[in-house]
Amino acid sequence: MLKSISLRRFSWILLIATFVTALIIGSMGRSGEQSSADRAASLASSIACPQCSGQPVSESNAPIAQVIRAEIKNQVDSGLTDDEIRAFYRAQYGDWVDLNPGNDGIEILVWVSPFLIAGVAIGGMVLAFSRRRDADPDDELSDELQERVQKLRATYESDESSRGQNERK
Amino acid sequence: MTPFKWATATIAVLSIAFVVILAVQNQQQSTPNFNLVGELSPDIEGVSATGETINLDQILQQNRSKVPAQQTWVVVNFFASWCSGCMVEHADLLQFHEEGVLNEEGAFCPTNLLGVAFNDEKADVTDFFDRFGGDWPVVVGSETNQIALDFSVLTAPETFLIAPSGLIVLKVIGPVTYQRLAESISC
Repeated sequence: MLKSISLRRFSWILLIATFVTALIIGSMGRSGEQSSADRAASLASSIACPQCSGQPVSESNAPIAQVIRAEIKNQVDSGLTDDEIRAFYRAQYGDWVDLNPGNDGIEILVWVSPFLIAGVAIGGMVLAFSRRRDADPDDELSDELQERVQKLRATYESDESSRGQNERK
Repeated sequence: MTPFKWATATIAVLSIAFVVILAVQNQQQSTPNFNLVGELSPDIEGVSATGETINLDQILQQNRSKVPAQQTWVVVNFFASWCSGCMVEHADLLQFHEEGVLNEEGAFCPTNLLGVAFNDEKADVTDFFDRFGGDWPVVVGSETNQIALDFSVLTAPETFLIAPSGLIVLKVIGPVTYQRLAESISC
């Protein structure tokens, strides 16, 4: 019994440790400075080709996609930040060309809702487990339940005895 | 209701609300200057295929010292040698460049035709003009990308008519005609 409890606790600790480690590593992002080429490639993969249906400029061969790819490289080389570059394309072609959801207005839900849902789920599980643990097995049964148990026992015993008599015959 | 059921119900409600909000929200939260008509023209600075310096702002500034009838209207045509629509419209642009536009009294309205190569090479632009005619200045080189994006161009051909005040008064996506340009110019 003790062994199984320890093992269960160990599993929980391992699970939580893995979860926290993944969160920390995920939130750290890439270490070090990105090269200009990497930044340009990353931007090109998250800006939609205005002439295509939702396809990023990095994956489109449309002339305007080629123009935008070349211009993104120039903009990165000329020192513009990612936000400034995104803002430029949003202003020229509309918000929809920015394939990365923003962090304000309704779009913040995209970032917040996974944590919200995970929080509610974990909270629910913790409540459910704590309630199960709090349930005392020695609690006395109500009169009604005791009566039902006695009836079930009587039925079971009479069935057993009649079965024994039949076997003897 | 058990806590587990509460949690499940809450997650379900949140998920549905999230999907509904994403589905019904207005996709376009800010108005892009996609159309450009009624707005001040972005500037054009560059070098033509023949090495001439082109500066749209300078052309428009010269208008300030002229009487309205002598002020220049500018047509900016984004084109490419690989674009079939550009071949279709080329005869009309030739007519516009050679004949110009007359006002109701039969006087010429000053006009200036500027080409901007869209995703095209200088050698191909030169070949195109050798083949189809025309000698108006065409901006070539790396600056053309920025110019095309400033005008929110999607593809070639696209043509903009800029009034002497600097306001864009017409945007034509696809082949433009002489008629369309002529009827939009008044001086």
